[in-house]
Amino acid sequence: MKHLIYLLTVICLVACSSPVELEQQSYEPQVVVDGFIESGGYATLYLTWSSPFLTSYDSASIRRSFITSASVFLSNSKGETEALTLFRSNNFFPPYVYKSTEMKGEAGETYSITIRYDGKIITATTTIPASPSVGILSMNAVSDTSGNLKLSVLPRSSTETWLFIQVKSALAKEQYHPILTPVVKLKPEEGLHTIPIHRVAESNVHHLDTIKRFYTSWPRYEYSLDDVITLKYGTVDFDSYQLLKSIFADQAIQSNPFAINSVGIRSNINGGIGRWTGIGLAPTLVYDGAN
Amino acid sequence: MNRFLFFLLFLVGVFLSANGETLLQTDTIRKELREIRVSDNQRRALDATFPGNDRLYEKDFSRTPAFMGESDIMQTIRQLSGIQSVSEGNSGLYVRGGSAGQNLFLLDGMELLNPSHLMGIFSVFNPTTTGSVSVYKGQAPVDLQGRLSSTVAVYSKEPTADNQGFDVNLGTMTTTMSWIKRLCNGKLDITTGIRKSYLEAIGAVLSPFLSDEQNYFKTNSYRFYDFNGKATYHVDSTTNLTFSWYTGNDKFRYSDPSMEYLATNEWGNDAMTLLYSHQRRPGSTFESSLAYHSTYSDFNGDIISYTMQALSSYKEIQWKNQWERTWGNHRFHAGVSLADQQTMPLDMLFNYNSDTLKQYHRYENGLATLYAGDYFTARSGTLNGYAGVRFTGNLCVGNNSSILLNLSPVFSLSYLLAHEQSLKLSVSLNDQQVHLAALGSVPLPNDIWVPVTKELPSETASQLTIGYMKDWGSGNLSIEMYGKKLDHQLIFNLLTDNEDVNDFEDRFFHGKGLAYGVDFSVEANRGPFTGQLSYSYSRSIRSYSGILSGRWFNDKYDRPHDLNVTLSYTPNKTWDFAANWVYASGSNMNLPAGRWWLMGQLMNDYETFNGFRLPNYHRLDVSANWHLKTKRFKSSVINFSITNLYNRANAYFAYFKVYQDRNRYNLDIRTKQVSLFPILPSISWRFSFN
Repeated sequence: MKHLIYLLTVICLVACSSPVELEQQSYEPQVVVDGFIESGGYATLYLTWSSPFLTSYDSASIRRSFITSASVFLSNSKGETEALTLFRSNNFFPPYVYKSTEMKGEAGETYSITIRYDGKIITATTTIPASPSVGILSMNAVSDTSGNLKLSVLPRSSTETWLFIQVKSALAKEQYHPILTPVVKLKPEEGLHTIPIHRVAESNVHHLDTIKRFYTSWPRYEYSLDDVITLKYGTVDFDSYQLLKSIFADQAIQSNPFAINSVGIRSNINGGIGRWTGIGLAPTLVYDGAN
Repeated sequence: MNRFLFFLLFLVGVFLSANGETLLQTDTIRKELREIRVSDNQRRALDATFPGNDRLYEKDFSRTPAFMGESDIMQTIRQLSGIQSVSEGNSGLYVRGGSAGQNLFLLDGMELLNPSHLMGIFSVFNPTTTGSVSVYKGQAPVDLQGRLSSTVAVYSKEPTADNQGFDVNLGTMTTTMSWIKRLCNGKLDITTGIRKSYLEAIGAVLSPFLSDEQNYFKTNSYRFYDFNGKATYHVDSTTNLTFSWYTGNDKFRYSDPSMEYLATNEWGNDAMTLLYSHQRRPGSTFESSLAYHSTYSDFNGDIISYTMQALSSYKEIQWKNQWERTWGNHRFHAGVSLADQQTMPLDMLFNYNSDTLKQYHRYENGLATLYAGDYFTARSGTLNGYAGVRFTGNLCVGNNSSILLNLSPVFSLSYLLAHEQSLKLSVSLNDQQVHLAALGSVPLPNDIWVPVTKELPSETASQLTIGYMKDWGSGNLSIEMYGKKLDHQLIFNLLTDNEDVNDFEDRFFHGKGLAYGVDFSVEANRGPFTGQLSYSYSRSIRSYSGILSGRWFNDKYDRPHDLNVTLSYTPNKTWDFAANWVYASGSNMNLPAGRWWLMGQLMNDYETFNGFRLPNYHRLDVSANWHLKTKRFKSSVINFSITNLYNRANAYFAYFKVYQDRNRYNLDIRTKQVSLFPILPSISWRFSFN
């Protein structure tokens, strides 16, 4: 019901505000798993602690939220197991990542992780579905300088498939991140699907740093016609689809005080929260404005 | 099929009513009862058969400080114990743990489903035509049932020797006018009123001083009006024919060219009733009415590349017959009504670029209601009570047609003790045949009415109330305790995707609720002073199987403490003063309990529902009436009012904003509140003439 969310957003645009102190309810921090394994790629896993909602992070407390001393094991349905290795990653936040160095994702395979940390055992399982068909990335110019990007893709088989779509912009110097509505269901009976690739603008985030962001004053959702945009998309299983959908539906209403998330957010992590996602990747697509 | 049945039943009813006066001879004549109520105002708590039954009159409305120069009936109702005092930007009435859609608002017997103007700031009831209001907090005679939480029956003034003529109130935002007259040698009584806002005039006044871009009222507009009335033709000394009507509309236009944003929002009510009443002899009355009422909302928005239109409407035609008869210590009444409900919860068109999403849902229901009740007295008048039962059959028409049946009994006793004291007890099982689905976290005029269907059965409530009342001549005291169990409660699930549901009915969470509390009220008069204190301690919780796996959580409007103090002072005939102070616990908000990082973005962790409470609410309003000496007018009063005297920034709602500096690893989530009313002084002039 995105349209109703839109209606509620419209209504709150007329309001004005001032700071208020709310009492934080008791909250037990949990281990957060943000992990994925893509077909043809190594397993990648970020481990952090969650925090009470209304507390401030400073540089010391934010560092304490990174988990860097866990034992993480990856196994597949063939009986292979590998202990993941911790790397420092300056290009992503959080800046520590556990990665496999030998096992790579294969379509049709099931992958499990086991995390031992602080006396806890945390587990999760996912599968990598077959890759989707190769799509076409195109730009519809809206003005002389900007346009809307779209992906056209056909369902691959006679059954439903679920896509997870990520993007990065060269002009904005981005890493891969999900698009605004990054999970899409493809139905065979509907033929060619055209999916809008909306640029993400975090409306409820106020940046205190001085990092220059290319798209700060651009029209919402639109990309520069001169940009080089790389699109990574792949299929996920139904559980992952539902999980990701719940996360991004919540994101869509985060800045709207009139909207209510009655259903919470799903997780497929036993003993923690987060996601462990298998992705059957299609070849990446590139929009190159210069060409 | 449904329409045919309705028509058939209507014909049968007309036939019966034509012969009704020989079959059943009763009386009550509401007018007669109301006259008794007026004269017995001081003993109202003691003598009411039902606990939780309050009656308000013109002098109560005039004691309430005006808001922007306009007194409001609903503000006075909110001063009663058991009814939440807080109302800013909120059209809902919250009675004893119930929700906004569980109140029956009747204006001269016409139901009004969307009872607010200006996003809840004013009610739809014209204060210059209103004579009295009867409020029942969950337990009412069977002819006034129909909602779980309350019945608010508003009665227009009848022409008397004193009140005939024109009555005009020139306020800061609105002008209200009424005309009350007895015509044709007493054969025809007319009471009518009209109210119109002129916020657009503020834009014109500011135009010389501000550019169009800076002038909010130039680029945006808000207007509302209402027109209501009642005309009674006295056919003879025993027979009356009364036509009542109401029409009202709000229209709001907001534009922001910098955001490529334009929206209009419109909503309103229409209602009319034709009532035939006949008194065969004292104690025997028959009434037959044909009524129509509807509500609608229409939202149109255009933002960047999106356009959206969302319509919603509800229409009902009802034919009702009621017989009343008094014999001995009993006053018996019975009735039958037939209604055709046509509901269109959502007719929506949503466009983005070349994509179009259309939704259209329409329902039709046929309702047949039978009811009977008896007021009785015993033990030489020290014990009086009421017993009644209401039976409703709801035919849901459509692909999944079904007939749903409800039986709602009510029993109430009032025992008069020595020294002007009384004890009261009431138990009831109540139902309502329509749902109000809130689209957001606060009630909005665009909230949608949804019919009862097999998948969305009628909401029910069982309630027990016990009370103690005492009068001491110059004041009265009331203490009431209640417990209420609510079933078949609904919450609209905003995050349901179209692909996850087959029918509109699949978009709801189904649950139950519990509410309990104590209401305390004391009123005292001493010389020129009149004071009233109302305090309620109440709790209201809900459980929905689809939310937190059915765990109980606080209702959004669970406010444990609600205190209302009103003081009025009339030193002489020229001046009178009034003050009203409200203190209430904050309402609840559904913020996340925790936060976490995922894919480089901040995510929410929900462990509870409605787990955050907003700061406590308090506000002081004051007013003064200056009664001018005049020969030109029958009366001339200038009202000075100040709303929110000490400029308290009360939270209408709260939201959060993330402040982050990834260079320094700093991150902060700051909550902000939105407050609607700062200190607001106003002046108005009310005058009357023949």
